[in-house]
Amino acid sequence: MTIEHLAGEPLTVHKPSHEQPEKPHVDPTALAALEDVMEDEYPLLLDTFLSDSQLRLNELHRSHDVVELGHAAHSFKGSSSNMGAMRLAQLCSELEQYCRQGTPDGVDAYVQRIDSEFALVLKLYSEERARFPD
Amino acid sequence: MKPPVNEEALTVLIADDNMTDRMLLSSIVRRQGHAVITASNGQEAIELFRQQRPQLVLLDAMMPVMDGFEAARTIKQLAGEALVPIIFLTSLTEEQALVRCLDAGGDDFLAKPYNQVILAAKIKAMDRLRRLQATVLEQRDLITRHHDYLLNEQRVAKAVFDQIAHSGCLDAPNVRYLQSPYALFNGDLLLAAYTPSGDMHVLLGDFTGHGLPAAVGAMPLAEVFYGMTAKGYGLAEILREMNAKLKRILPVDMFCCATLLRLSFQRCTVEVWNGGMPDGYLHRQDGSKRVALVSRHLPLGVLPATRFEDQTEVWPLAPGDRVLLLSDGVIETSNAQDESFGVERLERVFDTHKDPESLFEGILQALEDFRGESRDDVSMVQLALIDAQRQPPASLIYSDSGQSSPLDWSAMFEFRADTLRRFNPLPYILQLLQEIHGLRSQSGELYSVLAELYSNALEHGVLELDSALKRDAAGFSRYYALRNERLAALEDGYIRLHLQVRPQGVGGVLRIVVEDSGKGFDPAKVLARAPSVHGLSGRGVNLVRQLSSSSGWSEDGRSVHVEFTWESQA
Repeated sequence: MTIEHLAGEPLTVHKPSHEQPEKPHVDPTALAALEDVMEDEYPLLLDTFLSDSQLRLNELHRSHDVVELGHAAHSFKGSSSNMGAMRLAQLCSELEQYCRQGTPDGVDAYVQRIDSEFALVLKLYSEERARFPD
Repeated sequence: MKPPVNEEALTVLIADDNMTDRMLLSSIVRRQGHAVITASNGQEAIELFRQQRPQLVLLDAMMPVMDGFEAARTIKQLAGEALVPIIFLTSLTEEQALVRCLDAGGDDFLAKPYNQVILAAKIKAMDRLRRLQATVLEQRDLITRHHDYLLNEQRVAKAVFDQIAHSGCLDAPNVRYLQSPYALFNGDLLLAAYTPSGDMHVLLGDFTGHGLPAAVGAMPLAEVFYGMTAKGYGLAEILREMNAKLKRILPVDMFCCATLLRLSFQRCTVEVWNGGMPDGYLHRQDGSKRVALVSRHLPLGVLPATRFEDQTEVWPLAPGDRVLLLSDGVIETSNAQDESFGVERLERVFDTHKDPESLFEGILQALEDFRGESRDDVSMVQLALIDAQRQPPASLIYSDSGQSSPLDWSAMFEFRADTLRRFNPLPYILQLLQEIHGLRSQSGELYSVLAELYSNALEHGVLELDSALKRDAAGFSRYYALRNERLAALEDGYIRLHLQVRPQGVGGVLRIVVEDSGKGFDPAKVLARAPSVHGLSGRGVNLVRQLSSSSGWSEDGRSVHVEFTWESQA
């Protein structure tokens, strides 16, 4: 399976609370651009993103303070968007905005959606990474 | 792929706690030909900035340890005057955060996901700003250096000028003046010097222009003023020489407004020439109407020598009277509302300060009240008569050894009408008599007596003017008007000057005979009149008697002789 095939796959998990067109899981042109700009370091970038993201996820799970949570979501959103993980970025953005309302109630649903989206992203990016055997 | 060669390569500091983003951004920036250094929080960013002075900073707003806002503030502070552009790495979502970025010194934003094209454009734009700022700083420093250089030049010029055009006898007790130490560079010039006979010459000048060009013109003017005053020349000759010199050396658009006056302590008169300066004033102690010393001529350095007018006006002066000269800086001093001080306000000060003693302070006070701040182009000088007895002796500088002093000779000069009209022979005669070293200690007296006898022969003898005219102020003006008129029209007549020097004992004797072509007078009758000490006439005879060893008139009154004796060679 290639990235291109995955791009348009419909979302079946949760509907976001506010109506917004769903973004594709991965933006293949973004990945192509990344490969172009990173050259030899592209596989390393993929590795870094995946391990970095795992840290962000842990932060999301650990934190109960909305401000801290918002910051973590903001940061995760940044790297996801840069890496072309469009839907993950979108979910992080939704959590970030939710955190701004100031109540920790209901953040779990957001974090769960991010969890499952990342599971998919992890799979897709690992496959992308596999194109470059060390 | 190798990074393209970038002529405008910068060192870019990237601070982001997110390793993925940092890696990506570093690659993008490097690919654009810049060198990259990275930090993972604000504290590290500051440390790297200190060590490596990058030219551009890309800063994530939210970082652990120290966030981007604080780091930005510190980096801006460390950068000082140089512009180190800071681009915040943040999504343009939250208004409040954007304001904070700008407040902290951020110059631009870059949203995630990064767009290579936009980032390149932003770096380029920031680099332009950075270079512009650097250029501005460089030029500012250059201007400062030039300014310092200019100031130093002015200091040197002033030191040189102070040697040549020292303020002369401005510290005399009858003089009060106000002048900025750098007035010279505003074109203002104030000079004062004693004549050999103890009179005082004062010049207040105002050159067109500012700075060194204005000061440069002042040098030759001062040289002429001091040189000719010391040699005994009158105002007319000095003015002609100044005008000719300035006309010759100054460019067409440069000239010098000036008031030149001679304060005569013996005769109690003030002789004035004003070319282009504001009115001077003669402020009477007795409360009578003050006299405006009005400009009647073009400034010095405008007219060619043939068309220059050297006519002066002469006014009687009483011991308490004050003569006041001022530069246009006084009249043109403006206040916060941009109003000028003006002649009317000045005249009101005159009206409220009837006592001449307080006039000078009165004007200073009025100027201060009016403007609230000081200007450096205000020049003012106030002169009074002092007792003729108290004046310091004229001091001339002699450079010869005294071995060649001539002691036995005689000479006769005859000055005829055409010469009398335009030439003052006294400085030459005085110069000649200076060769007699034994006479040098009396040179002031000698000059005073010579000047008195010469002007008597000219005015009462050749021009047939009646000194009785000078009894009151109106007659006084009339007298000098007539003098100018008759002198200009003079076609016949002469003055003869006989000089005879003989050794006598260890010293010698100089006999001077002055003879004129006039009608003469009955000396027995005139000399019998009681001399009026502070009146306006009859002073000359007294003066001659006081200052010379002996004197006498011939019976027909056409010839007068005086003798000066000395005991030993100086």
